[in-house]
Amino acid sequence: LVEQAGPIAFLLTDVVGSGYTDDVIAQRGMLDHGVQFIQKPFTVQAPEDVLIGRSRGAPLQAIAAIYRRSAVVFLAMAGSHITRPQDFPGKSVASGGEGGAVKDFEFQLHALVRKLGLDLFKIRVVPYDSKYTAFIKGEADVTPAFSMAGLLFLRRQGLKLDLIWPSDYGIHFYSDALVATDQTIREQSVPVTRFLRVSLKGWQDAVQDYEGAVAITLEYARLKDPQLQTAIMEGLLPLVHTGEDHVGWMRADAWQGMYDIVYGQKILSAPLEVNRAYTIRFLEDVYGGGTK
Amino acid sequence: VKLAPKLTLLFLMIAITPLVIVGVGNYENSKRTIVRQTINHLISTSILKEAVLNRWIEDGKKDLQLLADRPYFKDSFAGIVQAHDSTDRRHLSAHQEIVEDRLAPLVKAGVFREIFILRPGDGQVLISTDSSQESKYQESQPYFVEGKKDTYIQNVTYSQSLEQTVMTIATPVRDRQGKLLSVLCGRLDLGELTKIMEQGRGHNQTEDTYLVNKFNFFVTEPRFGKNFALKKTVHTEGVNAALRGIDGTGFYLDYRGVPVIGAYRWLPKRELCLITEMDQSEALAPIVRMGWMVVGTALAIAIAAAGMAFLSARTVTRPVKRLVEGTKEIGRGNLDHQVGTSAGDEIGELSRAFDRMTLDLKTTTVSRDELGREKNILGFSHKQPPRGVLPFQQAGPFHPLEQEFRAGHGVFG
Repeated sequence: LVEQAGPIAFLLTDVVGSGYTDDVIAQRGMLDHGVQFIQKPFTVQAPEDVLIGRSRGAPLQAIAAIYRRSAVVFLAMAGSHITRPQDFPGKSVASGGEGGAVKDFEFQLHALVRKLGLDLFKIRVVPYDSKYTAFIKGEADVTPAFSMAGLLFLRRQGLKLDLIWPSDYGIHFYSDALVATDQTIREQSVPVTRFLRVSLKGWQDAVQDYEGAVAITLEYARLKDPQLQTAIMEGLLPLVHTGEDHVGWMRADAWQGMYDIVYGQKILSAPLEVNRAYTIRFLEDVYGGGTK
Repeated sequence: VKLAPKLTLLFLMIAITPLVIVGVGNYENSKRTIVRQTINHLISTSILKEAVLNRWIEDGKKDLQLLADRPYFKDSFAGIVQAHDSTDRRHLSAHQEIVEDRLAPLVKAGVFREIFILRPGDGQVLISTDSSQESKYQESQPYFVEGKKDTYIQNVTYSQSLEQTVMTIATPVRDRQGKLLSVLCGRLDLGELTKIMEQGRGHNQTEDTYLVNKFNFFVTEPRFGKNFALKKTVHTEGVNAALRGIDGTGFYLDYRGVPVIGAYRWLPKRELCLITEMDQSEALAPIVRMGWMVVGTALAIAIAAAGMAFLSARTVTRPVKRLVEGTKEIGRGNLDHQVGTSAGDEIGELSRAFDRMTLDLKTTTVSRDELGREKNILGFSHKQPPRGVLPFQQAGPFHPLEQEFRAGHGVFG
């Protein structure tokens, strides 16, 4: 795939994949002769961060949605009679604390509360525990988790769970989006298309042959457990390929919905034109102009 | 090369050549017939499956429309929706009645796995046969957006909350003035869809019918795969052609990499490819069997023909060989040796002619021998003139025995 995309993809995969700074790249001699360095032209960000950043003046635009559905799910023990967000008041929900994942959980909980008209003060928010100890011990009634991580971990413990998906209650978010700067989009449109094409091709290949993708993942994964990695991949792929649109595709109504939620939570510094936070022109180039 | 192998080979060729020609012709003809029959079978199966699929969906659609048109929904449902209060016992009773008496029978009928009613304003699930789905919001689902306007069928997608593939039909519920009261939705049981695809395989071990969506993903489980639906893609020649909108048949490798005969159809309304395939090894098994039968028969006939040819050749070569040996014996001076047979064929005649010739020769030889003996008796030197000639110059006084001989034989000198 890198060969298909040319030198820029070689550079970008290192940049995006590793998060190396410019100096590290230069020191390590990652720049081949004749390859012009482009300063971190892509990032992977949550769509709400793109909206928030855009509202603060950051020149960012999403060019594709990798996870077309949010992986965030709220979990309760089966039989606890907590089967919907309306059951949260009076219960403890482990979505407090710091960190990227916690921010996602908190954001979705607040969106749910707002959407369903619940009283946040009646929900006892306790710190999120990535090992789910409190939840397993029954000290926390509800815990948020990512479907291909925490949910998988708890199911592998043999726990019977009730799943509460924010998307079932009108909270529709793309998860990771590929993001580029306005300048890159304006000045590097051909390499951007090339990069996006191979990036999506990689995902398509993973979707089409997830066992092969697992084999590749195992070469780099910290946890070299084929069963676990297969389960992760199986949990992840429905978020990438939903059966509705092409891999990576973005819909205007989805972005508008995300904007409405974010704006409703008064997180944005200022209102913005939502269609400036994303562009589907590269997706159209990749997929030949088709919407699906 | 001797005559026997030549004749054997000749007879063998004569016996085998027409057999091979007829066998190969028959094989090719039968192969064409069986391939044509298989293709026709696959095409009719796929047409049948498409019809069953459409009927299944249409039945579901009609059931929902009929339900939405019932006076109960047209006349009473507006009040129930307005009085939606989960703490009100009357409401709970009405809710239970709708689920048990109105919706559940359709689920029990087997077409739907869930029927639910959406509030038109925000897409909230007001009532569902699956109570765990109630109070969820479906406002962004195409079946809700389109189902408010008219009956709408949303093709197969993956439901995150149900953790499985779903296909949903939605139809508006309106009062007698045409005002939208709710959207009635039914999730088709895709397990049933897989069963439809599985029906009618008969005794075929490899015949398989499955559906593939426009992104090359399996929608129903193929015969030789498990958990393939919306998890595995398929890029066979048949699927790729169907995705280009082409209906047809072909010989190609299927999703397992096995050579198959396939019939493929594009179902534009469903945005699905309908693929019906059968392994070439099974479809062509009668031909292969026939091929082996032809080869076996040819081989058996060849062996029999070779044997018969050999025997036939021997009927020619044996008398000839006996003749040859006879001539050798006669050549060695045994004129008593007889080679004649009673056979009425030309070789028999030849052998008898040989015997006659030998007899004649023997007669001549006996005369000569007698003459020679006589000469010996008469004391002729070996330098005497040739036998049977008494030179006059040798006339003279005769031995008494000679005289007697001469008298006996009328020889006078």
